[in-house]
Amino acid sequence: MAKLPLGRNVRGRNDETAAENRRRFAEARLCAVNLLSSPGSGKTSLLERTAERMKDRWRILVIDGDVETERDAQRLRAAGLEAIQIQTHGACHLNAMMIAEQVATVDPAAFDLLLIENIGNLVCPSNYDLGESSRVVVASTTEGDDKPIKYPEAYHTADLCVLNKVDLLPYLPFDVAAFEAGVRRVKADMPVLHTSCTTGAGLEAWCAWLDGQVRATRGEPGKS
Amino acid sequence: MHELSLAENILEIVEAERAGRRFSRVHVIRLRAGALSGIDPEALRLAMESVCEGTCAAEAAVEIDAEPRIVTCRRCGATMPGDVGPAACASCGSIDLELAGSSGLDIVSLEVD
Ligand SMILES: Nc1nc2c(ncn2[C@@H]2O[C@H](COP(=O)(O)OP(=O)(O)O)[C@@H](O)[C@H]2O)c(=O)[nH]1
Ligand SMILES: [Mg+2]
Ligand SMILES: [Zn+2]
Repeated sequence: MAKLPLGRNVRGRNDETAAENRRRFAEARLCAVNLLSSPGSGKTSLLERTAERMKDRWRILVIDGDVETERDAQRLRAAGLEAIQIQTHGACHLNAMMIAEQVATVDPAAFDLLLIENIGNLVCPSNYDLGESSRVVVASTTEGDDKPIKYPEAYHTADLCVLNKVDLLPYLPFDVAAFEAGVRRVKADMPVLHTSCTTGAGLEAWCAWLDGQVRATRGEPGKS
Repeated sequence: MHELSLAENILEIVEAERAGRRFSRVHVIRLRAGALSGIDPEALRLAMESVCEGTCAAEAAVEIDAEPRIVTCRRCGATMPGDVGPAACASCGSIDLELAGSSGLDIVSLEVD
């Protein structure tokens, strides 16, 4: 019996494809944002609200991942965005190869912002780099305030945390300070935005953050 | 589901090694899972069993070295074990602590003949 040292990254093929995606996005000056959350936290709603505020300013493409159905892409087309649906038929995360395949069907230089709605799952998607420029974890008040420390993978890899459904705070035993302390324990410098897709609260700040991401990708100064 | 696709990736890498190095049987597959790799070792072992059936790795023992979660102090740099860690740093008392660890999953080595 012989021992073969390997030192091989099990996700190597994904990570190489993600690096290629990142190169392609940079070439096209396309800002790619990957949204992670558990099912139902409001990713699609947030994109619908984003469409209302941003679609006349930037050319936006959405790639929407779900286990089954075209529903979310249809919702986003109804909101005026170009949207591609990926149905994984069971797989619990998007991978870089799925993104590469879809990006090959469009001209990436024809868009300024690519919004990727990942499969609703707080574990698996966190460990699959898609080639995005930034990653957002969307939490919601109905999930409970302990999720950052229970699902640290998603929070540890994100650049921004959006706490959605803050309109429901009066009705829920959700401790915002405990939630934010949990976020900081997992990732010390992560900014947290509070939003409500129902009342519109906080959406200006969210769109300003996105705007900053697009401008940074295009090498433009911060404020319009 | 997650573990199933990882098991397929592992087998792909093992099969590619076999083509290059001409071994016929894999006895041990040794993996290292980072503290933030999101891997359930038991689920990965089960997935490996089903994915490797009828292959050169059908009898292989899957050994997973799962790194423990640690917290680092952002003031003094001390590291402490634990999921979310203590309320304050054990050496300097700072409460500015942050979870640390790798998200990597690697095949460290194979035992073959
Ligand atoms: N009260 C409240 N409900 C919301 C908010 N955002 C989304 N929802 C609702 O939450 C449910 C799931 O939203 P959806 O956008 O489909 O979540 P996704 O699975 O993350 O894409 C829907 O019934 C939405 O109407 C919010 O800010 N406040
Ligand atoms: Mg959705
Ligand atoms: Zn310290």
